[in-house]
Amino acid sequence: MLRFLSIKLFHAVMTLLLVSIVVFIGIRLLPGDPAQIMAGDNQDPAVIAAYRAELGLDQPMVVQYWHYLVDLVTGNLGMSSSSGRPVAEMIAQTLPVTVQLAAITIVLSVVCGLAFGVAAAYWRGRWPEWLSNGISLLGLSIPNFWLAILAIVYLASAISWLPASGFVPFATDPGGWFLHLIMPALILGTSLCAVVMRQTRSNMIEALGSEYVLASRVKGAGEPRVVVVHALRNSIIVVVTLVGLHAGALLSGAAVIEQIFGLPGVGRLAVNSVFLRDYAVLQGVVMVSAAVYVVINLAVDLLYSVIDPRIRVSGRTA
Amino acid sequence: MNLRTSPYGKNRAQPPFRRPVRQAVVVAAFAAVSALVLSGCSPVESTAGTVDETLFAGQNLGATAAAADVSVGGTLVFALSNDPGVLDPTFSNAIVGKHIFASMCESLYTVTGDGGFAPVLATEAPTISDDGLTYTIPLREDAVFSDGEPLTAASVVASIERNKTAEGSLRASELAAVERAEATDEYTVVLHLSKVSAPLLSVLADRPGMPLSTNAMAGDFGAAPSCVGPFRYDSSIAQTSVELVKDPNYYDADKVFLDAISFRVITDASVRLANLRSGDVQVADRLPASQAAALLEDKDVELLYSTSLGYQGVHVNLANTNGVGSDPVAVDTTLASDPRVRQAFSMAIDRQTLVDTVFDGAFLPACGPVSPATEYASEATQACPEFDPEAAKALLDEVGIATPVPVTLSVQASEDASRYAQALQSNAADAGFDVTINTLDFATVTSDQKIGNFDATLLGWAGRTDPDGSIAPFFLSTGSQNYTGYHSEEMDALLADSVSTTDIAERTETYAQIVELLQEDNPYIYLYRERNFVGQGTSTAGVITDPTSVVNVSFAGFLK
Repeated sequence: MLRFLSIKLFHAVMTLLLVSIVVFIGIRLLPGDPAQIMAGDNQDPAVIAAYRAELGLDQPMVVQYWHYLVDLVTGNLGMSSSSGRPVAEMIAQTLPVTVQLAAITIVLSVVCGLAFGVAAAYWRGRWPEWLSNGISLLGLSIPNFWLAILAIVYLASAISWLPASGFVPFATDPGGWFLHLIMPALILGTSLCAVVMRQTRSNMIEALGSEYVLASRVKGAGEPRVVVVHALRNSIIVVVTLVGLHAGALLSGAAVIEQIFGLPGVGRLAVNSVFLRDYAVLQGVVMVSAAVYVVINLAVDLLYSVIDPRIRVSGRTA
Repeated sequence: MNLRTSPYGKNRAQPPFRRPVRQAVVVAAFAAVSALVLSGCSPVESTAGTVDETLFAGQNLGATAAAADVSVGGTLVFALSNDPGVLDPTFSNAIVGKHIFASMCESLYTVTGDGGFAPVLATEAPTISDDGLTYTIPLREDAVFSDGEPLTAASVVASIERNKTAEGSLRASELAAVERAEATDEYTVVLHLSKVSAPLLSVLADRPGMPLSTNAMAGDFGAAPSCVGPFRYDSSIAQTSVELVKDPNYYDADKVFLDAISFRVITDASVRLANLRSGDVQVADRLPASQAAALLEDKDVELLYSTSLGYQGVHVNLANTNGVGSDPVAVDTTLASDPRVRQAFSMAIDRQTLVDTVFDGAFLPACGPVSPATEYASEATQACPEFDPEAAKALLDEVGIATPVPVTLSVQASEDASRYAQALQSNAADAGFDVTINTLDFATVTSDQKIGNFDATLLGWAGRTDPDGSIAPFFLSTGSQNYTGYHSEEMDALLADSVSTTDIAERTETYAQIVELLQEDNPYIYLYRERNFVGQGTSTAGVITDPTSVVNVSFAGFLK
């Protein structure tokens, strides 16, 4: 068990190290640097040189990376060059917003996907199936940023049903919090809803044609019970896997949606830091995201080994 | 067998339409989509007579609110087009930061609607000595910083010292003419200059002229800014919002109606406008030009506008091969080879039609760096070359250049710039210029400009109150932003003349000569000038702006 754990831990640390190197080099490959951005339209060479020295950009790359790594290991994510605030503070302010957006998106798209998928499978060959297929095709094809702007113009501006942008913390105003997040979440979730709907539909069609469903009907179970308790339960496992696979796409889509709706989330922070060449912030965001993924993977691996003793002992099944 | 899902039963799944109908539907859809796509491809046509170019003649700077019309209290929400960055006047690099400073940090002077100056923290215009090297500025005696410290000459001197000497200060070059500042008594500041500086008054009306609290300067000013202003800093979230609250220490606190101002960063112009229309925000800056004409008629929005002090156009790389500041090495492109090629390019562009087509007439054509909104606007400084593609082609023949002339144009990835570049490409093709557009993000464009990694770049300048700030950095041989590598002794002499006197008529005459020289050598081809469009919603009154495009909401209030 200890050997298993230490191997997994070693892989996790190696992954994080590799990620730190890739992001460190990646952003420095872009033309321009934070010193030029900080100087704004006052491009006085003396000013830019002063900023470069302050940020340590005049030292060799390897030396810069070493300082960065040492800081990282001691938990110091550095200072943002564009705002002058500590990176850790900026991430702590923005990460919860993205997590809340992602959580609501997942809930809404799964509910949407399951509902349409079940309808499509149950009333196969009739109009609910064609409606669901049409909606899933639109959801997969229409770019969600275009949909977002349409929604703001028509739903928020013309009719004032929903706020046009911004974010209100749950603690301040729960109703406002939900109203500000529901439009972004619905639009972000269109493709996930479509994918879940297709998968649910095909699983449900198979399940509804199976023998155990026939058996439960014969035994006298009502239709709702047949559909939900017997057929749907077996389809949900695949949906969970799908959501996991799509989580990555969700986070990158969140960056665009956050920009449009003015949600102060970590996706928007990352995109802005690329344009502002804010090395410290981008490195911080990427490292935090990588750390979260690695920790979750580690937890899942441990969970597998707890559930299945074969993995615990030999590292593989049978 | 379950008949419902079996493929053989009478309830089996059917396609919704029969084959011939499906084929017809597919063909019709394809035709409709093709028509939509192809309609986007059309040449730039003259719009004479279809666009009203006089709609925005002059300016609307807003009006102050009468106390009888507005109620006391409320939080005004201001949608900013960009992140304000660090809230420290010494290190601030974002133009939108000025909207926040307008409410939080007053300066010694301010720019008035006609381009003149009025005292704010000073009590009257500075007394300038006969040789122009000494400025005596009297201060008001009842001003108090937001942290309680009283404003004295000593704090003004300390602020100016900080702006000049702090490492990384972005205001040092603006105060280069000031040798030292002295407090001759408690409320009188004397500036000793090393040379005559015509732009100095405009500098004192901007960030370098904002006194900062000595206590706050001792710590991290950007985290806890403290100046003299109707509002004081409360909190902020980086890249997202800034909150200001009413400052009870302000000398005119009884003239302030609002309780607080909330600045929100909304970078997308359409979303900013939608927020304004829905009432989620009360003020929005930089509204989209294509909507400006419609907004004039819109009863939900009051449109404030002024002509920009800056310009938009194309830098042509003449001799910048090793970076700004290095020795000039001629660049090997057709445009750089002969000034007559650049003159031909300038003559080949129909500036009026381009702004009419791309911006619906909301912006205006520009042929020189002096804005019509300044006191230096004269017929000579506003002179424009004729639009004459035939003459352009003839000029190219005369030089012996074969058409088409290849031009690689770097453009930043903004909506306005991209659309304009495409229209320019189409327009220039008629005179034999084959323009290739290279779209890059803003940081890459500015970086390329500095190291000389460009042939031509479509990049503008926001402008300064004094024309010197819009010309010298670019065309002085030693200019810090001389991206084109332009070196001309004649230009250097003219620029030195232009700042050696404060007489407006004399300087206007010098600028006329500068414009003439620029239109001969064409290191920069001026194309258009923006207008600043600011929207105020119908629930508030008292939002004002000035020719420098700074929006001041300090004395606004919610209508009763």
